[in-house]
Amino acid sequence: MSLDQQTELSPDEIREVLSRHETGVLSLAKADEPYAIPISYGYDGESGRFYLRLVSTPESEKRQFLTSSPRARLVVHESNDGSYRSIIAEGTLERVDPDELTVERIVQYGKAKRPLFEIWGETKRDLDIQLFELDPETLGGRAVELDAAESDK
Amino acid sequence: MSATSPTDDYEFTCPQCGEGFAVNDGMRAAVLERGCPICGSPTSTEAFAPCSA
Repeated sequence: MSLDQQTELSPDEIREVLSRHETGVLSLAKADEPYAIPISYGYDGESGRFYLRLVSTPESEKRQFLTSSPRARLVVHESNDGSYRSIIAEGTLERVDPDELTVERIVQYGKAKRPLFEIWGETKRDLDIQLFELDPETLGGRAVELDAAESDK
Repeated sequence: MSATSPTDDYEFTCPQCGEGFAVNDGMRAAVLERGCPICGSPTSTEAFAPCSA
């Protein structure tokens, strides 16, 4: 595979990829300990913000990494017939307190799917559901197109 | 119980997750249309109580 087959996605292409997906991998860190989880998200193409609804319990590993305003990376990727695209968003994950909700936020969280990867074995009243927003400081995307012969390998 | 402001007209309490917060008319309409923003469950007008002055 030659390097010229890899291209950077335009802002419009990034917006299209993020808007047609609803899941990605969120990575957090504590000191030198990494933590990555599959999550579902809502994305507002106009503001460029991600809206996340994360579920944890007091004993969960996730809770340990969801400290106040953690740094985070969100990776969304897709592949289709020899075409591979990936998006990386990086920024600070800001918790949204229920008292900070606005009409706009209610609409955005309404668009966000329920956590598709969360297994809610307990009733919702026993779970700690927290709202977060990610306003990326950096957002980039790349595409790799393999020729037909190479993609058939 | 969440804090209310002069512009808050209702206290919303989700029957599914139990979370509650104060809302104004616009937020109430959005919650009724989009569901509870916390857990995503559908809501009804019964989930809203007028804020006491």
